[in-house]
Amino acid sequence: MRLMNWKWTVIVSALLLSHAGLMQVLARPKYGGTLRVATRSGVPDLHPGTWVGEALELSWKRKLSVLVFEGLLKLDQQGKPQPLLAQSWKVSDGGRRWEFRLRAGVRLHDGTPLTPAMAADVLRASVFDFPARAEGDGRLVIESDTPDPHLPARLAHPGSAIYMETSDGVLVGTGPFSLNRWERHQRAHFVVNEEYWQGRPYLDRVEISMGRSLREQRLELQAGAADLVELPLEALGTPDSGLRFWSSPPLELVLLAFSQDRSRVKEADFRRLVEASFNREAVHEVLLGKRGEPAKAFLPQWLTGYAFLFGNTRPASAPPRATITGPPLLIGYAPSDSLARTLAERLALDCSQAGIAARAVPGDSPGSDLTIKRIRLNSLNAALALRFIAEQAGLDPDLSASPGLEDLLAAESTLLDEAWAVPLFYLPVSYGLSERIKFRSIRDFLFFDDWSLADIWLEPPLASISGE
Amino acid sequence: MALLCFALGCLSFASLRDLSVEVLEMVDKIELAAATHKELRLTCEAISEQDAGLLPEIRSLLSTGLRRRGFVLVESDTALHVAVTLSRSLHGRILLAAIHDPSGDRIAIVSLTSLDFGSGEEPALLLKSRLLWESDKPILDVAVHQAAALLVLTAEEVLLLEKAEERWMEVKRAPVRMGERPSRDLRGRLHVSGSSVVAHLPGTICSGNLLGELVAHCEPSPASWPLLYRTGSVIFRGFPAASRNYFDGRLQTPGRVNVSIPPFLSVAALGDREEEEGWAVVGTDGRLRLYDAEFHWLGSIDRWAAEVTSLRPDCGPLVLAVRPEEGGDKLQAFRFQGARPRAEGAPLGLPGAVTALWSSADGESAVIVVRDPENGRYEAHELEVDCNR
Repeated sequence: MRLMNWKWTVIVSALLLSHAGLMQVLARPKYGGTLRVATRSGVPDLHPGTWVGEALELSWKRKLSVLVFEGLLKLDQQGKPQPLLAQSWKVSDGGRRWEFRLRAGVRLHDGTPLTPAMAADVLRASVFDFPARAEGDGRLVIESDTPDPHLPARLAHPGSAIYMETSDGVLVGTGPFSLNRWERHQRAHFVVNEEYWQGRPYLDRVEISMGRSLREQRLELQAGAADLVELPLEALGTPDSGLRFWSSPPLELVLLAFSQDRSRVKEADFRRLVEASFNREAVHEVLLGKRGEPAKAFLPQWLTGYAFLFGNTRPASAPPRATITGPPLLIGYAPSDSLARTLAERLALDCSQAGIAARAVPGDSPGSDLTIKRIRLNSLNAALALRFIAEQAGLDPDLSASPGLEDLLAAESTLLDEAWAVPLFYLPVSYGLSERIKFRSIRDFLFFDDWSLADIWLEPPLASISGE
Repeated sequence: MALLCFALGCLSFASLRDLSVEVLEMVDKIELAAATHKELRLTCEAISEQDAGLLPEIRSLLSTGLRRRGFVLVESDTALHVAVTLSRSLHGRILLAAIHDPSGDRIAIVSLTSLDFGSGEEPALLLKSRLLWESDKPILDVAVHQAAALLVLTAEEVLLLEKAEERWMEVKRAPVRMGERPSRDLRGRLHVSGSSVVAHLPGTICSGNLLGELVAHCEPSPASWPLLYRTGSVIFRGFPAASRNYFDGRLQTPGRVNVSIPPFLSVAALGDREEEEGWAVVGTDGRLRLYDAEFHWLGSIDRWAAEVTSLRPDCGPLVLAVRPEEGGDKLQAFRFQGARPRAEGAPLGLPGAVTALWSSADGESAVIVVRDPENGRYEAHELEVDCNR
């Protein structure tokens, strides 16, 4: 484990969210209107049974999925499981048997009643292969040979959502909106579920435009053609009158992922030398304008509480100048990601100054020795989040089925020691909001990488503008 | 973060026994990792300055525990260094010990579970709020009278409204005059009995009648205020301190008229019946003090709640506690087992900061006034508990 002397500084709580212009309103919520959302990402499908892809795409699939589908449980803002389609649950047999009582009276969008049998079928076929079965009296039981204290967190994952495919191939769930139109990677339209069991949402519709560049999104927001858009990091903290934005705690990890099939980087010492050549603090201060924070660990301090153990990110002394010959180290980045490109170029420069010839190359091509990746945390459950990060970085963490905090620390230490992936920064995720969006509390609307569109309303309703 | 700052105090006193157990768990782990050593150099630090106040307590418990296991605590650099850090994760505080053994560092982690707001289970109990009235002016208290009339007390007037077509319509209003310099954090209390209306303001009592003059006269008065009710009868009265926002500590309960406790902000009843009564009192020092029916001190909890009151739904007496939080206070129902509170149901998010929390005259509900931080308006809500979830 790399335990370094840690300079004791007060860490400002990472959960303090920054925002501008997010005034709470006292007027009663209004019904109606269409919320228009734009995103860079292109989501291929919403099927809860498939959950593979790159991190940004999965992040948006998550957001869109929760409009339509719900699971038995959800995680609250402290990452604790809370009831959703399950009204209550109890655990017995040392964590091997979990019994859930389903909420009565819930129907899917096509009117089909939610039953334990249907839910058990879906959970058995889910990405987590839950050994679920229906029992009488509205109960669903998941029983396994080994205790699983993280089962509630897995059930809260969108991949555990309860859904049904109608005879004409439409996916229906129990969520606040139903899917009305889907064009892969391009657009999605959702309409309100009038019979939503938690009460009808205020919005009538939600329209998602996918594949929109950040510049296009910004222009659409300014022109009043979009209500919710992604903002680039550099848009934050710059004078921009009228920009109404929300910014998350640091939850997007920027890391170096070394290609395990490249002989250039097979030696851990060499990988550490590459890491040591990169001055996180300088990049954080200059290139990132002090936005986000240098990362010492894969999981952020605000989530685990132990990230500080991994010490200062800056090496105690300058790395020894290497005398490494051979072709330049190729540092890949996603062509559409200007920040990744900037970081790749800076790393190439730093490497060169440390005696390692290096060059930034676009694309996640097989020829890259390492790649700059951006990975959003996918869960407030630290174990699930670490597994996801590791998978996205091409690693296989040695995590037991139910890691405690010490196990998690040990697994993360091992991953860091191997240095196949190196955390660089944690960045916030930011959205620009139109003035039409109203809510009682921003935390009811946006938190972590989640949103709740059932709790917001538009003022005035779009119908009065567009004549819908 | 306000939630965490608030929870900070939870480790004191009432939960001290829990903290002892948790620290003892850390002692076990340190003992296991340092078994071959006799001398330890123990250092304790906190990641957050807000947690620094907890360190002496933790250090003391650790030192005592380690000494009892036979370790000698020294300042020498040659001793095995055990660096204990109090940190925070999303789920709460954790205590980490880095044992710097020459053969390799070892890390031990123990979660410090403090008083927990919220529940992992479907709430068996649901707090419900119903908006009664909103105003640009501070609402000091509201009273629903026989479901058909609503009285609103502000710093300037008493307002009477009656229900018509599911809306409260103004019937009449009457000014009130305060006899003394008002508090900057003004409080007031309405008492309606039959058709009689009494408005308590600091140093002033105003009397009137629903059927006649709503406020017939106001006069200077040092009278006590009715703070808690049970089935229409006042069970706790307190005396407001002049030009302040708190009660001076003198109080009256049935059968007890000369009791005095430290100055307090608010009070809740713990019991269901007079003979089983107990009281939870939020002091001006932020400490919740717990008393039995005879006002024997049961325990204290530091900075546990900003405001409390109590109500008595069908499922038994509950204490409502206001937890200040960024973006809007939260209200949580509790039951007390001795000096130990247990959260019941999910917390109720509020759209701003609570400025008043009073039990209603029937004792079965409560009223809460919330100020929206953005536009400064005040909302008065009636709070009820649904026990049959």
